[in-house]
Amino acid sequence: MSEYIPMLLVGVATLAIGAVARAFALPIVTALVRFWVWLHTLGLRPEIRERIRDEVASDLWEQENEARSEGTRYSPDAIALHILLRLILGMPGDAFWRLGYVTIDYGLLAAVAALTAFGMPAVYGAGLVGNSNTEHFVVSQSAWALVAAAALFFLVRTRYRGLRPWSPMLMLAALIVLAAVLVPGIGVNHAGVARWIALGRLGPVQPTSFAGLAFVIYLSAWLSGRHRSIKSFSDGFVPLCLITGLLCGLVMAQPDMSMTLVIGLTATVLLLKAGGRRIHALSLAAVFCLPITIALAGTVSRHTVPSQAFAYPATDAFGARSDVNGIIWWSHTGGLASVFGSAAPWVATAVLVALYTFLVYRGVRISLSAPDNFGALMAIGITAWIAFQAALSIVGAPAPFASYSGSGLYSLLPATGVLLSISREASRRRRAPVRSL
Amino acid sequence: MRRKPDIILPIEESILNAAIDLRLRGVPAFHGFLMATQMKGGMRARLLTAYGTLYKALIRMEKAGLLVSRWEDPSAAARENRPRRRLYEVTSVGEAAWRDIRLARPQPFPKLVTEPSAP
Repeated sequence: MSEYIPMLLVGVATLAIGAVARAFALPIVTALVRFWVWLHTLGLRPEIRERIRDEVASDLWEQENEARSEGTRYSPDAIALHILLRLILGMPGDAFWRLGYVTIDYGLLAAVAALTAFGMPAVYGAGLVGNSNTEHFVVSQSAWALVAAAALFFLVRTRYRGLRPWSPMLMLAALIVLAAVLVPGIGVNHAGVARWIALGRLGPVQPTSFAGLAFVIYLSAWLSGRHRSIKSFSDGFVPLCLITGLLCGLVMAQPDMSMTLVIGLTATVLLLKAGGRRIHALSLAAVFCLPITIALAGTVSRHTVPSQAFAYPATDAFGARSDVNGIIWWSHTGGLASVFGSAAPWVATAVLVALYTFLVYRGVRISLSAPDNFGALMAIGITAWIAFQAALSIVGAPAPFASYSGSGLYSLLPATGVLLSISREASRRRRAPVRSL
Repeated sequence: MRRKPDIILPIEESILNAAIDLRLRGVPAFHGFLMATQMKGGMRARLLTAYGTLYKALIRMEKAGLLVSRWEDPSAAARENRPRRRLYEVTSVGEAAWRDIRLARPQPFPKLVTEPSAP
C-alpha cells in the first residue's frame, strides 16, 4: 500500500496545480500580455509606449467583458487561451516592428564587443610569459572593459552635441596631461619611454589615448564651425597645423611615433571631410606623417616582428624589453603581431582584420548619415583613429580594443559610445514620422 | 513588416473593408477590439487577430495617412469604468485607397438564383 502513496501525492499535486492554474489562468495570461508589451516597447519614447500599453489594456478589458457578457459560453480559461494565442501569434509582428525602431548601430557594437572579447585569450596568453600571477592581465583587462563599457552605454544615451561646448576644455586638459607626462616626477619613464602618469594604486595611465579622443572632439567642433574659412591658408590651414603640431609634438616627445602618426593621419582625414583643400591635407600629411612613416617602415623592414615579439619574456612591471636594435616591445600591450604572435597567427589576424574592416565600414556609414557636420566629423575622426591605430598595430601600436590597455579601453569604448550616439541621432531623424504617433 | 509605399497589405485591406463597413452601419470611429471582432465576424470567431498584427497594422496605416486616431474623451471611459479607447477613423486617403482596391480587383458576380422550373 505504501508504494502507492508517492503516486497518490503526485496525482493530488497535479490536480491542485491544474485547479490553481485554471483559477488564475486569466490573470496570469493578462499579466503575460502586459509584460510582453512592456518588454517589446522598452527603450521607445514614453508616448509610443503609453499608447501601445493603453490600447492593449483596453483590448484585454473589452475581450474579457465581451466574453463575460456572452454568458457561460466562454469560461475564464477559454478566454485565457484565446488571449494567449493572440499574444503568441502577434509576437513576430511586434518583434519586426520593434526592429524597425532600432536606434543604434548594433553591428558596430557587436564588432567592438567581439574585438574586446577576442583580445582576452591573447592577453591571458601574454600573462603566462614570465609572470607568477598568470591571471593578472586578463582580470585587469576584464575589469577595465566593464567600467569602460558602462561609460560607452552612458554616452550612447546622451546627445553627442553636448560634447561641443566642452571640446576646448577637453583639448586643454589633454595638452596639460600630455605635457605632465614629460615632467620628471609626474611622468613615469620606462626603458627611455615616458608615456604614463602614475596614479597610485590605480596604476599607470597612458594619457595619449584620452588625448586622441579629446583631439577628435575638439577638431570636429573647430572644423564644423569654420565653414568657408577652412579653405583659407591663414584662417584654416595654419591654425589646424598649430593645433595638430602641438599635440603631435607632445606625443612625439614621449616618444610614441605610431600614435603621432595616428593623430596626424586623423587630422588629415578630418580636414578632407570638412571640405578643406586637398593640397592642404596633403601638406598636413607630409609634414606630420611622412617622416614618421619612413622611420617606422625602416624599423619594420629590419625586423621579423611576429613571433619574436611574443617570445620575449617580460622584464619589468610594464612587460617592456628592448631588443638588440633598441626597439621596445611589450608582450601584452603590443600590436597584433605580439598579441597573436604564436597560436594560429594568420587565422587570428584574418579575423581581427575582418572585424576592423567591418567596424570602419559601419563608422563611415554613420558619418555619412550623421545629422550635422559636427557629428559627421566626429564619426569619421573616431573611425579614422581606430583604423589607423589598427593598421599601425602591425608595427607595435596597441591593437584597438584587443590589446592589454586600460587607457586604450577607457578612451576607445567611450569613443564607440559617441559613434553609437551619432548613429542613434541619425536613426531618429530618419524615422521622423514616428513623432506623429 | 515594413510597409512599402503604395502597397496595401492584406491585413490593411481587411481593416479598410471592416472600417468602411462599420461606417456604413453608422459607426464612423472604431477601437482596436471592435476592429478585431469586426474583421472576424464577431466574438463567435475562433480566433481574433493577434495584438501584434492588429495594432502594428493600425500604426502603419496611420503613418501612411490611411487612418487618423485620437484618444476618446476620458470621462466616457470613467463613466463606464473601463480603460480608455483609442479611436480610429478612415481618412479620405484611406477611402480612396479602398476604392482603388475595389476597382483593381474584379468583384465576383452575384450568384444567379434560378427559379425552379415548374414541374
